[in-house]
Amino acid sequence: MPKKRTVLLAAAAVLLAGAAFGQNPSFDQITVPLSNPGQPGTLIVKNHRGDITVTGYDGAVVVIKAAPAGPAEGANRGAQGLKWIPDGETRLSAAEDNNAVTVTSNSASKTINLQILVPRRFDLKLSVKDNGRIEVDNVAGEMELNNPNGPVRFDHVSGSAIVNTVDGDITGRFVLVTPGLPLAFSSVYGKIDISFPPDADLTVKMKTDEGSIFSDFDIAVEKRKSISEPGEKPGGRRVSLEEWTSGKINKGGTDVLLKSYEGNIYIRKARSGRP
Amino acid sequence: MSDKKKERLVSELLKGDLPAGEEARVKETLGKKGLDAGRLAEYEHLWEALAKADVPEPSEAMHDGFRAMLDEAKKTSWRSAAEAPATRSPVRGHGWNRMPAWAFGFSLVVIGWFIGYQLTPRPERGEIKALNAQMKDMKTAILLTKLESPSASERLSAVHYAEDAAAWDDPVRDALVRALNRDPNANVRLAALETLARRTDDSRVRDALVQSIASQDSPLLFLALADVMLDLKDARAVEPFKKIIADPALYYAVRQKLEDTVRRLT
Repeated sequence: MPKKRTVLLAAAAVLLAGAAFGQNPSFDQITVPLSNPGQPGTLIVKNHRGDITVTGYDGAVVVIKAAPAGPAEGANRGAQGLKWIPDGETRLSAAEDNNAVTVTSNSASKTINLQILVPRRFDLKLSVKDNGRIEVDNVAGEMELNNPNGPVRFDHVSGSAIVNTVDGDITGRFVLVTPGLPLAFSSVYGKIDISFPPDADLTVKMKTDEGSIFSDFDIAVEKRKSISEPGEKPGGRRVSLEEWTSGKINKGGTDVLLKSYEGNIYIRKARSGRP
Repeated sequence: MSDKKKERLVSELLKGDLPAGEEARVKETLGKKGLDAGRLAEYEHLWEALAKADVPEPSEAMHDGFRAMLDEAKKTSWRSAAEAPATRSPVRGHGWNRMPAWAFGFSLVVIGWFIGYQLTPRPERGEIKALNAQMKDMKTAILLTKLESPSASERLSAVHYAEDAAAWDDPVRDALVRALNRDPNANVRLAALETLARRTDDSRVRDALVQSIASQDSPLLFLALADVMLDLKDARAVEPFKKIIADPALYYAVRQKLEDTVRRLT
């Protein structure tokens, strides 16, 4: 019976994809069944060029759709009145090993957008090299998101997240934070804007060189304790870390590190409707 | 025949109490039970020798001497019992003069107890030490295992764990340096750098930080390392930073910061 189910899912995915890529119905699709259906899994996409959009759903297979991105703005000069015809291939492939699904789309120079449906309980390891954004919705698990040159956005997630960007903003909203698993968000130019459940027990450590920090939580700010060890050797110097601001939200607990060199940091109480 | 019975028969035989017919029969029985004639003759000989030994009768003089000694002993014990309260009380009369002696005695007891306390090997002290060492080993083992985890969150929590001063030792330092240079996640590398930066009184940590500049590829790490090097005023960082600046694809703001760092270090 699994074959039939895959076909059905594929059909549903075609409909979904048709809606998502309205202007561009040409895409490749792979459906990946899991070795242990119903168990948590991991989705891995490395060094991707283009968008990665991951959505959790109530199914048991991973559905991957890939489509070449449309022409960049300004690239269609001289094409007025003409229709863009997608060319080339996505070279999309996926491998599954013990519920870990690795997706690759090694198109040499083209930007490929990925839309991936995963069962809700899934860990994500996504990294975009170029030309894309990372978006995650409705997933529960550990997330590792890297996008040096673009933004990262996540919503309705529970678990933990470790996010890096260089010039992209990081925007996210947690439904639930796994106690004890540290969270970290860092960027060079981007702003960091994270919403947590109002009752989350967190210990936050924040630093921004040129931005400011804002929050509607009552954060009990404490000065960072420097480790004092007597007998400092000559020539050695202890780097001062006093510029870190740290404090407790509610009772304190799960470590959250937020660092941006030039962007602002916002720590919000999550409200439904707005991330 | 039991041993007891044998003994009795032999003693009667030796004393000559047995009737003549019996004597021959007993001798025969004993012979059967393993007591041969030679052995029996030896016993007879011994018996006769004992009988011949001269035991003196107690004389009148001995009796009187004993009496006198008994009386003397009685008198002495009575006298000492009567005299005791007056001379022996430490608090009454001359007793006060003995206070220094008592104090000395007491201090001897205290000193003795103290020396004994110090010298007694107490296994629980060693046990606590051993337990502490075991705890530290366990912490180190957990930290090293977590640093190898495929989960970035686990690796990050291991780095936070190393901030605990009690867990700090050579293997931990080396593991953090490895994490700084090779961890696939920039946030884990950043956290490792922050932890190591608090240990720069160790020259090996300083060397490792300078060396790691060349192995970084993330602007986040370039900037963080520039901050640390400015704080350390370590001029060895100039060359590796210059190499990074030479990359034309470098972000403008990062290039500016690194150029500023190089200027301030030279």
